[in-house]
Amino acid sequence: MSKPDTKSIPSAPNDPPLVQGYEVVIGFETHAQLLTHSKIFSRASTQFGAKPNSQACAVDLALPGALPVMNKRAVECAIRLGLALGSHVAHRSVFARKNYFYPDLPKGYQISQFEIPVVQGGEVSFFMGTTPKSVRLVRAHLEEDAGKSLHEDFVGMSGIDLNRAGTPLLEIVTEPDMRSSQEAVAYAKELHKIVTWIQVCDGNMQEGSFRCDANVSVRKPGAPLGTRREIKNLNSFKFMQQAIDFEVRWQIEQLEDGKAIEQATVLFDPESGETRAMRTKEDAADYRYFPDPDLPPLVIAPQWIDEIRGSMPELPRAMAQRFVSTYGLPEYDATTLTQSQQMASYFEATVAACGQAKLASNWIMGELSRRLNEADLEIDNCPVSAQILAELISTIAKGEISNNSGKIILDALWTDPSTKISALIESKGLKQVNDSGALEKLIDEVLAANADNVAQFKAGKEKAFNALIGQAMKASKGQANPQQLTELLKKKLA
Amino acid sequence: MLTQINSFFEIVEQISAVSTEGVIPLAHPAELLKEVELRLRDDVVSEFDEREAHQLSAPAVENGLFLVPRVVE
Amino acid sequence: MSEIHDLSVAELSSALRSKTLGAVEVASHFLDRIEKDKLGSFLSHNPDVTLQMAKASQERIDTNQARALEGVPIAHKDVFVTKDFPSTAGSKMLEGYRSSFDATVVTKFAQAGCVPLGKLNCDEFAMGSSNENSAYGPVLNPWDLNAVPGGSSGGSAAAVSARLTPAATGTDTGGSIRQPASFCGVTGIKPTYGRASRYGMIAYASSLDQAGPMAKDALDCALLLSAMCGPDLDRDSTSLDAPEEDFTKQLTQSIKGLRIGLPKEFFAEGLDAEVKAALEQAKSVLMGLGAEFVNITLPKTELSIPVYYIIAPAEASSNLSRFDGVRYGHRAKEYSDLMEMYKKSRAEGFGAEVKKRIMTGAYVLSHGYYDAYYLQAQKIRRMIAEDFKLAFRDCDLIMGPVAPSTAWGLGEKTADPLSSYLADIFTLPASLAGLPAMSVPCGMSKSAKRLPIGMQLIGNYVQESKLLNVAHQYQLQTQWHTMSPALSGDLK
Repeated sequence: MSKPDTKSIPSAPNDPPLVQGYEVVIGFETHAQLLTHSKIFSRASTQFGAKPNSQACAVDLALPGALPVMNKRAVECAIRLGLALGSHVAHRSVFARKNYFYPDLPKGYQISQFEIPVVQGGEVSFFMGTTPKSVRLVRAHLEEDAGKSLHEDFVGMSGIDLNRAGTPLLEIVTEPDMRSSQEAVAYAKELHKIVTWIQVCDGNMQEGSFRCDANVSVRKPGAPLGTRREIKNLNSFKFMQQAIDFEVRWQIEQLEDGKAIEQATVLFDPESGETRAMRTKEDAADYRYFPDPDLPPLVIAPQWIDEIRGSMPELPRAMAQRFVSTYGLPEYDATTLTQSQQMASYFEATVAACGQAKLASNWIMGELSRRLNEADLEIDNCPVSAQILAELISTIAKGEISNNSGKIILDALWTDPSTKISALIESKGLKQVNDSGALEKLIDEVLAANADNVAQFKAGKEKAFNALIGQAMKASKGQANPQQLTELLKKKLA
Repeated sequence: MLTQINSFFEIVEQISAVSTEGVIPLAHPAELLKEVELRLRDDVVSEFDEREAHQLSAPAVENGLFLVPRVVE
Repeated sequence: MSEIHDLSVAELSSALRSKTLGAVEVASHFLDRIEKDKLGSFLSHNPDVTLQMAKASQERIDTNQARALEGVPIAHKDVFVTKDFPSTAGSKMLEGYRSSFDATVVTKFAQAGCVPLGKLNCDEFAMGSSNENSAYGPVLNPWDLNAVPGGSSGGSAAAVSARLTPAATGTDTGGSIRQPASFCGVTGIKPTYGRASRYGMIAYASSLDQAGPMAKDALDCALLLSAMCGPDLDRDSTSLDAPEEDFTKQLTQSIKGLRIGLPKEFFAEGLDAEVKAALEQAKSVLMGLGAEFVNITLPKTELSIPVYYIIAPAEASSNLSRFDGVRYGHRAKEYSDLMEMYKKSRAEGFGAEVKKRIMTGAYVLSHGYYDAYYLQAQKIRRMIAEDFKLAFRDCDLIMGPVAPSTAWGLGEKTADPLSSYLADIFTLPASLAGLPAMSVPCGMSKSAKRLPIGMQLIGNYVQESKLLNVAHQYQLQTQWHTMSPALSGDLK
């Protein structure tokens, strides 16, 4: 594996947040399971949750005489990822055998890529707050997943299930560019978004579709890189941050105690919140890599890359930029709305139907998302369609109803989306009063009835104003146009 | 066996004297006939559950799982 | 009429088709002979299965649905996995192993109508040149029961020679079809790398292994090769995408004007006088047929020994890692933990030669040695292939010995296996280059015992038809390929 020159990685300029005076250096290796029906080298299914060894054919079991045959879609996924991350997609790459013994590795070697990976270079860009960040990639290569060992039901034994063996993976390796656990998590989230966006991976972390290994080391600023330890198999963003934070504190404690850090592979235990060494990683165990004689080199023609490039969806970052420039949305909104293709589509459909970008953004990010989360629904399965939401937003924009009334109507639509909005406005008496004349009359009545509030306001108490607004809204049964009401009241009290 | 392996290496050492400057290693003999490229197959599932047949010669199996001494992480 | 067992594949096929002979009758005849096998050539056979297949073949013949080789018996080297018979690769590691699928080669023969007789003994995991490395006992040379039959396809060669089967499959990685064919006086051919599918062929050295037929003569080999070759694109990524070929088409062509190259390195000292003489005689016959001989050179011939013995064990060390006692194969009875289970199972399951090659193979791939050994060997391999490319500018095919001598005595080289490595010198170059090559009986040693001598013909890529053409024309003029050991008569 081409290791980055470990001595010459500079400290990030300006802002590495130091922990107890130490700079944190983090690099990630992410294994993303690819969205294919069949395995990378065999025709067995990759579906999760099947009964043990029912999706492990002769090739996956490494039966004598079995041979690998490459899955085209897995290669497509690699090309898509390469294009999405601005990487170089190698015209010719080679599969190599990584030799070691383990019960979940049936052949006694893993087919991977060593000297010449399919994707080279590239970067992942994201925001941390308002600061733009970019993490460079070293490479991404295709390889096969191993099986699973199960321990629970067996005393002194383990049960090996090879259903997962042969599932296609892309191993995505970064330079050690990250300088904090927050940055690392932000990177992981952005990568997660990208691979799901371009449909290369289903991103299901609980099922193990997206697994991160974090290489963590610490050093005094300006010093050479410290010895790193690898935290393996982080499959939740929450645990990712906890694990890295603990590991950093642990390493610093060791160094402060005068102890050296030994290279090791560690696991995070969510129960205790601690990282614990698995086995000491001898400086790169000798895997005796050599090109796999069963697989000729993978050749990717430029035409194929062009074809795929043409069929790629607009990427989240680019789409967010477009939302900012075309719809005039703030960065935050644009980033939130582009968290998934589905949400972005929903948003654009809504805007296309009502022309109210900011309102649509507010409603989708706010009321809609809240309800979806509560009901544990994806936006694809939202009971209220973009068209209906657009209609609702139109009525609010026109001033027919207030925002709050909109929430009440949304509740009703959520349970029965076929109800006509106009009917609901009517039956619930939510029609907003916009007539200044009527409103002025209302205000006069309220001012008359709340003389002490008026006095307090005139004495300088701002809160009294809100109390008057509250009274006026109450008197109008919530139907007064709040903006108009506020304006008129201000005028009257001036 | 050690003597045999040692004399084996006497034979093998011959190759270090050969100049191979600029020669590309030959990994796939077929490339001498024509350009070899990895063939790609369509992503279709066509292997189904044949667990019983595959596990006929398994040394230790329980509930479809291959049993081995405890794997210590 | 000749005895059934003296008939060639071509003759049997014709007799079965014309119903002069019945499929069950033929199969039973060979099964009886196999029962009396004293050569150790068969590792397993199953009369019920064989007779069932024979009956099915007969039905096809009776209903005019006979396929190319309907009813012709065949036996498979035990490195081809079969559903109906155990597959051991000559190793204790796979004692009793039952595969859940058939090798493509096995399927193709079944689809051609061949009736399987059983599985043939071989050197363990195809590693060896004498069939003395089998965990199930050596195979004896039917011409001299104190001599080796050659290896690793010793069982295949011996069985055909002793007329226990009219046809056999073998595999050739460094000479394992050609050399035993030569030692046992039968005809065998290793096609161009990639011609026959390796799916279901227990792997030894992936970039060298090739399946091929062994039978009485070139015509038989041509028929068998036609049935077994063809692209297997769905299952073997190294399978050659060349159309299926009828290798019998060119057999009757005249070889007048054909240029045959004689590499000077193949005729240097170390070649047995009798082998040299037999080749001289063969040369005369071929000249009589109009062939022209050209002197050529293959300068890197000697280097093929270290190059092969680096590359093949390297690939083998990795291919054999799957034998860990977890999912199939031998598992030790007692062990205290996983590591011990691996170590003991492999120590008990593998023989000495296999262990040696795994060790040397792992060594040449290891960090720090990879460049000097494995990579360097791969480079020289290309240079060896280039030698042939140059040579083929001056000739149409190449002729030479298969081995420096005839079959040596059992146990003679077991103390010094290196000497058997050195005897591979003539067969290794074509293996490394991936070229087709065959062994054709061309003489008998006169000293002490009568032992067969074979000549090697090496062709350019995908030129199997030309090789078979020369062999066939030669066999029309000579009798060597018709001889069978006295032993074969004893098996009545």
